[in-house]
Amino acid sequence: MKCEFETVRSGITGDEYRIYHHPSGLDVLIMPMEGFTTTEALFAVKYGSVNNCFKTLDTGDFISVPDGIAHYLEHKLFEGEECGAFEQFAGTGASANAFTSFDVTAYTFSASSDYREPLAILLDFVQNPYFTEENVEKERGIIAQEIKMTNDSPTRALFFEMLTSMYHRNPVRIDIAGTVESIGEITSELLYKCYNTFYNLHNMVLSIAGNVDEETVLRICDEHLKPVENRMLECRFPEEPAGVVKHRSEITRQVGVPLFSFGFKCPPLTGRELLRTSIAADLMLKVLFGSMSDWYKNAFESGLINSSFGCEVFSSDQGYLMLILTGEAKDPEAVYDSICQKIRSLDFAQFDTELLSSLIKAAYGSEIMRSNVVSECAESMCFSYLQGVSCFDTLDIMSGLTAEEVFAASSMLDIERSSFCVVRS
Amino acid sequence: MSVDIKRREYGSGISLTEICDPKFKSFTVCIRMVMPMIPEKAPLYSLAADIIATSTRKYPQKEELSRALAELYDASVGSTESRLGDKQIVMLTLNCICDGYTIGGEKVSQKAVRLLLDCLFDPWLENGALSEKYFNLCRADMIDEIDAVVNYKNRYAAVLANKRIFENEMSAISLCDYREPLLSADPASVTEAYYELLKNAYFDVYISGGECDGQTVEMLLSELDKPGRTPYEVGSYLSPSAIKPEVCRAEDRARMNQSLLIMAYKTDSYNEYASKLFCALLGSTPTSKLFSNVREKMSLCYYCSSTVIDMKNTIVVSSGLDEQNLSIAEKAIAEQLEAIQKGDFTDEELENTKTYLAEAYLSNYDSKYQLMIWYNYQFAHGTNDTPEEKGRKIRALTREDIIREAQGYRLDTVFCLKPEDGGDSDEM
Repeated sequence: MKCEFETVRSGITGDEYRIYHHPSGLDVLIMPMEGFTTTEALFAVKYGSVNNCFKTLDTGDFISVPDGIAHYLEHKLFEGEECGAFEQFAGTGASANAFTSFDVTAYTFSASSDYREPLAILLDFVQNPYFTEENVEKERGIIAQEIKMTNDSPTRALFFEMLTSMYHRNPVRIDIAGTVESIGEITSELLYKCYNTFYNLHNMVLSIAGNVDEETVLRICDEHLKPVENRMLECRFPEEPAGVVKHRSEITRQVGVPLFSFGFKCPPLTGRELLRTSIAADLMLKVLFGSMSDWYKNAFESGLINSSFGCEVFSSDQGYLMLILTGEAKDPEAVYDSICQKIRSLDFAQFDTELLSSLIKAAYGSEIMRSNVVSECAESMCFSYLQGVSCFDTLDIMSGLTAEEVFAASSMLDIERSSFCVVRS
Repeated sequence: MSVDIKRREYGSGISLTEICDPKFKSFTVCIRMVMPMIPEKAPLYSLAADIIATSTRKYPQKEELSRALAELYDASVGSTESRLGDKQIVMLTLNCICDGYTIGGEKVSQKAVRLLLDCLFDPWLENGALSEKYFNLCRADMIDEIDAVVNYKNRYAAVLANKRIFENEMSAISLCDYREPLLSADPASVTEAYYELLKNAYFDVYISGGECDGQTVEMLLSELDKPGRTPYEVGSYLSPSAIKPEVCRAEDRARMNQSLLIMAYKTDSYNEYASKLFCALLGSTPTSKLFSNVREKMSLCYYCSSTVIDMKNTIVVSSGLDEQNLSIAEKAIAEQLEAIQKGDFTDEELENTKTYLAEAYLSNYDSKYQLMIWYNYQFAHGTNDTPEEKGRKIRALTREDIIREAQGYRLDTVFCLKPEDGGDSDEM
């Protein structure tokens, strides 16, 4: 079948890939990488743990489903009527896997000699669910153990404590896998309902990079994709207040050194505006609190923080955007005071623009290294596409940012909209 | 494959391996300093490497060195420590983009290699000793890291299990055992350890990735190959662990919700290739015996996997599950191993596992780090297999080879980390 396509090219590095609009409704992203042995593919759905209230032409009104169902569905899709997906992959030597995040579910494989059969298997098993009450029940124990395993991680406990302290209603506050109790409500009927809602090729993408040629990938897509009608999926999120649930919280776990997370809740954004804001915020955090900043030097040398300290922007177009400063500290309260003091005394005249230039140069180097890793390229194309941008936009946007714009992102460090969470023994 | 590999040995305890593939846009230089594992010295060598990676005489502040590296397009210099057999390996590693990919055509690779060498040979010294400030900061950081091992329950369980599996062996020593020696260390003792490394370590150097400056090799050799060194003669890395006359059973408790089960099997007739294939068939793939039966059929756990402990003729099986299911899981794991020992596996299972391993080996060609690890593994084992050659050797193994290898393994240790009463909760 003939596909229309767009070429996406980086004006800075010269790398490129193509987006083919397959007649089945699926967009196929292909990045051939000369000289590489492996092929990495992701068949991804714009569906994660936050999408628990939705409607389509088939459901009528909005319906709500139990927490953790997207992740449960990911587990069960590997089941087949005659043979499971892992058994099918076994003869090919490809390594298959899957993951569910807050906003994406993806099925992946990595192949070395020949990607054709693994690609056909990937497309087939994701399009052919087989859920029975018996096989759904069998999975419950396995997922319960996965939940218990992750619950034993103090770092993860801190992360979700921070999300529940910041968000009143957005489902990002709920653990991706749900709870042992919530997965008890999941049935094969509910799994089919979610599958039929979200696993529509119009709501999915295939991203493939490495040792591939476009013609072969498209031929396999022609042979294995089943065209579907767009069922006009619509997700609903509860209205989220601007403020946080609580400014301070503390939980107990067995930890060697107390852990802390300082989160700042920001207004949600989407698309390129979200990417631009996230990039500016990330650079701002690195200039003010990163390992080359004056604040870090003082805090590290005075023993306030250790080398586990880090800062990041955590965001999605599904209604959440936050800035996070996190690490280990013997006296978390002192870290809180020090960060607040820094925020209250912010002044553009003191903003280290030389450091900003170095960070932008470093970001270019880091992008060059990343663009040389097959799995990173496949993932980056996929996640960027699902957020409505391209994987080359980061460098393009970064190269156009001014110091004033980066400094302006510090207005997102609003202490009135922050939560400071601590884990202690 | 277009990978070009050259390895040269120098008389003064230096080997240099160049792994070059022009498809890579960056390169890595790793200086591996190999020393015998000496319990009282190991923490000091490790700390010395951390300190010298922070600063140099030219850049005496950590932030200054970091900025200099950032200006070289996010180049980085880091220190790590690992163990292979009974040797300690202290590493300084540089990562940098190749000169052909800078924005303005700047040459950065030679400057980056210079910074790496300055960290090693020209660190910031105060009155002839390593910086007291960075001694204190790096030591505090390392102690925090040791204290945080308990945060990561799998790692914590492995530390406790290794104490039993490798009782009275160097492999029983973990990062956690560094705490006391670190507390009694001072800048003078760590400086002494640093000079010992320079004088006595065997330098196993790797340059891996895309094309870097032609002067790199000469720069490295002229600094590393200094007179007056008395380098350690590495010899064999093999350090087989004796099978205990009776199975060791032990347990500990921690504040957690899930129990962790670790079972170690040892053999006294180890064949590297057959053991790798046997281990993969047992529990290293999603269609392995352990995955298919203990996880999928019995729904006991989220993971149940096996791994070969290199140089120790040991296979370790790990799983996480509810405490009341520990004995059921132990029995099920033993049954799967016995099934292979009795030849209860199909030709298809065996062929699929061979294909899985052979394909996984080929994937090393796409990572400069994995290529470096691959060839280091080869040299440490006295082999020189390319990924294709190793795949061919694996494919040539017969079911009889696997049954024979499996039959050599005997249960040595069973360790459980169980929840304390009440587990761990979110309540304040």
